[in-house]
Amino acid sequence: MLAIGAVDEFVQAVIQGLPVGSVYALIAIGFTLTYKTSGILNLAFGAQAYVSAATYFELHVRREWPIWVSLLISVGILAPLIGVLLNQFVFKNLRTASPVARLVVTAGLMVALPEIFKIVTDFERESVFGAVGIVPDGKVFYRIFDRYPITRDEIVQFTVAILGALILFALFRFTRLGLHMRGVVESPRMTELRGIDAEKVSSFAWGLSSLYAGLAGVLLCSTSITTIEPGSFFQLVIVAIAAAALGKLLSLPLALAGGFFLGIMNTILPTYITPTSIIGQNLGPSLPFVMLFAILVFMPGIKASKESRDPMAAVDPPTETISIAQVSPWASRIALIPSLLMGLGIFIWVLTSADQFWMLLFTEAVIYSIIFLAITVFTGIGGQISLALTSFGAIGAFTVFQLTKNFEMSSLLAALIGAALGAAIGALLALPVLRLGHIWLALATLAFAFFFDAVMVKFPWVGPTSMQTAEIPRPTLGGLDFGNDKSFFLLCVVLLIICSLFVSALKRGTTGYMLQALRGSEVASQSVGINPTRWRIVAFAASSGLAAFGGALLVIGQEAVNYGSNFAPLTGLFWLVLVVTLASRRVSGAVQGGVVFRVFPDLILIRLLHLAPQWQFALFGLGAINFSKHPEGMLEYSEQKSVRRFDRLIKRVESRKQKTEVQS
Amino acid sequence: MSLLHAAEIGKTFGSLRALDDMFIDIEAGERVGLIGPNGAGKTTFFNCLLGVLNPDSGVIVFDGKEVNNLPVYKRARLGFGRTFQRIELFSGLTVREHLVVAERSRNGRGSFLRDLIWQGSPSKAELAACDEVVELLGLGDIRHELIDSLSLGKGRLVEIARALMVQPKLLLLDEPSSGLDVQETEAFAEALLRIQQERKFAILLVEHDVDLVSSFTQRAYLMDLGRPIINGSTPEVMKSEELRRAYLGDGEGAQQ
Repeated sequence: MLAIGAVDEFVQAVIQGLPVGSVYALIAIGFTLTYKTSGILNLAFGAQAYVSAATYFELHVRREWPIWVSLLISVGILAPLIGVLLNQFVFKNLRTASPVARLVVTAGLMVALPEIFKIVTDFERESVFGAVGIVPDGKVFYRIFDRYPITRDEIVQFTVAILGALILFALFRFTRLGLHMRGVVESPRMTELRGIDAEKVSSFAWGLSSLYAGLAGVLLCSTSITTIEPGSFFQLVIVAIAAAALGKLLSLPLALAGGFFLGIMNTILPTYITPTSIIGQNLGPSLPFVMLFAILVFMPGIKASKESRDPMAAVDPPTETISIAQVSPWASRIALIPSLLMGLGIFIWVLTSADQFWMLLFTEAVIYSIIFLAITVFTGIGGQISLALTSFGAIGAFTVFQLTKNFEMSSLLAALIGAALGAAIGALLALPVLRLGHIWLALATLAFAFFFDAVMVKFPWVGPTSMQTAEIPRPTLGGLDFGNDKSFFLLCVVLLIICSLFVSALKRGTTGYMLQALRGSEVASQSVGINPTRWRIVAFAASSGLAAFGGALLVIGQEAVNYGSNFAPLTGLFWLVLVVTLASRRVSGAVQGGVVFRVFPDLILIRLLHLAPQWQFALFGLGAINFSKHPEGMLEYSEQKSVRRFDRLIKRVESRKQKTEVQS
Repeated sequence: MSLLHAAEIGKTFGSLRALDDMFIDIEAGERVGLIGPNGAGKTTFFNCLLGVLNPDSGVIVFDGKEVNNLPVYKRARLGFGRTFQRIELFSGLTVREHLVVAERSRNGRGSFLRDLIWQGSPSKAELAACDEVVELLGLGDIRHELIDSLSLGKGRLVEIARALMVQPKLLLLDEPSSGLDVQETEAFAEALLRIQQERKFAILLVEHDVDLVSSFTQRAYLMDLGRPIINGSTPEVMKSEELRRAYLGDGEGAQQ
């Protein structure tokens, strides 16, 4: 009897898992297709799925338009249109950009697209709950073999998704366009030399995969997603990436199989875990992330799989870089003066005449600058991307919470311990993850961040449970009491200066040299005796430690943990996009990032322009697009320009001086 | 005891026997060539010696120490220096900074903690050591140039300079003439020869440019299809029937 029961359960799980799995498969092949045709790992597919699903919801549920009209507009027209436009105006320019640039741009889009959509359509004016499928009476269920229930929605979901996949394969196999598409996958430049318009073909690939993303979004609304929020669709992308990773991002059939596999695993695994344990209660939603992490870390051959790059890309001239090695050292010093003066001005204003609101705002700006130094270290100097900064910030915050609560420790000391703990956990995480290349590394950290968010936070020895008051005391040091906002602000400024000195010491020291060398060429670095693992772990641990320290200070400043509003995983993406867009290679970039992140929305958007807070996400996301043109960062770019201007000025003065000397 | 002794090296990729019972012996301070037509397995062998690839069988002894299981960077510290066929430089660093990186790596004085107390910047002694090698290779004028703006020929010299900073006992050169014209190749060989005679390290030159090998090396190994064919003094190997046969075929096809 038991055996029959087990088989029964298994068949039931497969039948339940296949429809969702087919949707995962659909988006996974779209994902693989665009990665192969343009080398871009499009995180924004989740946002695109959201836009289509929300449009469908708006038209069909709210305005009660017929199903097929709503479907045609939201999936048939809107979805591919977005894809083609994005390719035309954004992705096309990214083909030869660095992996960091490519990822940052799509991450920015992922944040921005839903917000822009919400602003334009005022979508959240009423409830976004109650999504429906694409057939009437979708919840009616049938029984397969008179035994296993399956709803009409699920049947439709499965059929449509499979049809979509089949159409793609037929297209690839039997049409001329499909042949061209396969050619572009190998090398757009080579294909163009054969007289084929590669732009058109890649445009088509983007349109098609975006259509699949939109379709997947709408299809999921009938079963697993009931609330139309960007977050739930982002999870969809994670599963799709996991599925695509099973095919190493290069094989469409494997991506398809991966989608089915994950769909089934998604329904089977929870049945084997005690449902009342903390893992059991929370693993469900985070399962995609766990699976992505496991696939990346354990799947053999992921490390060796090359990143998709156009073999003809080397033919393109390299992007122009501004050499600052040649300029007079005075020029760069003079160019720093305006921002130093401004910083000093703000500092004095905050100390003398700011009210409590602005004082706290600028204190947080200073603290965020410390967190953003983590990005300077790992991304700016190390050239790698970590999307788990929020987790490390939370680790620092939780350490302070636990130590002050249980041991009545000084919160400043606890913050330092939190930093050390963050660095240690960072080093541990680095061991399996850092051997992965750029994109894989970023994805693994992203998976970790979501896993931490969904499961780890819930353990009582990690974060505050909902029963506890999560208050945190301000520190005292000797006779100083930092309960006073002004003295706490001063403390943070001092700590920021110390952290900045550390980071610039790293940048100018051995760590900076070694990481720069590794970034330039790993094989050559090894050939002069550099141990890549050692230095990457150092960079990751240092960066994690800084993030943890900043996170600890943040909650000390707020005198409460506020996990959700401070450390949600998507916030980490936002931080990264922001800092990298401004200037990730310099210490001052982090400080500017902190000010922009904390002060800009309140000051410019809300007080001066009276815009909704959503605008900041939209604007920052769009800023990320600009990043593709100036990979050194907007601020860095403008500053280098002024450095060169001063340099020319200095040289002109010098040459004039020499002339007069010669004449006399 | 020779400086480098490798014997019975085998390597298989799938069903392809890329290396079969390869061997090589290099004495301290001598210049040895490894030649063979395209696809002979030269690069595979080269990578096995350096640790980029792990051979399936065989033994590699360097300076009296078995190095079979050591990763690339540890072999580099023992005295393996190398250059690359497709040039590998550190984009974003200047010429001299390339040498600073290598010098730091060799002397092992740098660490994260030293950086934190502002002891990380290059010292005067380190910069002097770098400048000496910079001058040796005639790169003095461009020592502060970013590497990205240099020509291929200069880039190859920077690679040599970087390799010299780790004070190699054996310098392995992977097809250094590729991408260079005749004059550039001559200038390169001349500079290299001068430095080698001054610093007395051994050289293994992997090339299919037969001219460079015959003018530059004292001994040569000829390999084909993953196997050693002959070895001996360079003039002997160059005159041999086996060399002609490896490069031009055995002539039977032409007679038919």
